[in-house]
Amino acid sequence: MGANDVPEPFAGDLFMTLAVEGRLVVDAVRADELIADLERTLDMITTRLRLVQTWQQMSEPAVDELPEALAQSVVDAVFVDQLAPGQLEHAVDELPKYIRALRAARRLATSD
Amino acid sequence: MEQVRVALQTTDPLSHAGLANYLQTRSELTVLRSGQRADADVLVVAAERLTADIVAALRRSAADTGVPVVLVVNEITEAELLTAVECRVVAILPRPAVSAERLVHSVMAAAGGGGVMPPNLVGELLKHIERLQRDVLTPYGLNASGLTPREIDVLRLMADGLDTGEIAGKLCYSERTVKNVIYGVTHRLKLRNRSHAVAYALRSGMI
Repeated sequence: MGANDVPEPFAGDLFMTLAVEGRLVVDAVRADELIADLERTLDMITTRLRLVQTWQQMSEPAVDELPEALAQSVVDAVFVDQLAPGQLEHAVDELPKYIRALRAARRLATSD
Repeated sequence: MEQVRVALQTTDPLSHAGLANYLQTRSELTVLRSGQRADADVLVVAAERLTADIVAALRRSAADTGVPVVLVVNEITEAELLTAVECRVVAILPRPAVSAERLVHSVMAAAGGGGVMPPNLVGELLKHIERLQRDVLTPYGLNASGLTPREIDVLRLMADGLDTGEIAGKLCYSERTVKNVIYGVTHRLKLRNRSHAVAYALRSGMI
């Protein structure tokens, strides 16, 4: 990525490289907090992705027929996916790399 | 003490002379001539911005020698920070704040750190992870706590001791909506009951 390119929102591979090479060392407590946050985020967006995929597979999708507690989540997820198609899939692919990187960086921090 | 050999790359001769003077305040630092760059233990790169040319030079250095880099720049974006770190930058100093002491300290830390990034740079990188999560979640009305703004409103009033009817009245929702919100948050976050939901929200600092 060059300095004048459009910023790439994800850098999971870079974090993996830094962790594996031992250049990224994260305090264990901080790493655990971030890993927990990332796992929660991954869980939430995986749920959103399933909603979008289920919605797309319905032959005649109708918001009115959904339970009230679910309808708003479906509308939000499907609408955002229309605005930024593929972003959820990208996030679901990338976030586990950050989690693995932090686990590697944490181990290095605690073993030193 | 063992000598630390420093290569210096700047975009103008005045900066080169100024930074060299800073480095030469310490006897254990040797500023190399341009032809000796391959012998360097640390590379100091100074520029106004991280331009494409500077990035290309940093990439070459990372590939050729892999020595740690101390970067002196006016400003740096998050995307540029990631690029810099990829190119073995281990310290970033803002140009207006550079002093002999800070530069020497960064160079010595870079030389002794074996390429490991110092805590302040790691902190900047970790901000990228936090920002990334916000960017991913915000369009869906979510945040890293897993709670939507509506759920936070309901939980806050529950924590104040209001019952379902009172919460509905305060927020202009139907009681059914309030019950659905509570059911949604407890079910999704695998919480046992209303008290557990309030405790979760308090502990996560959301209310």
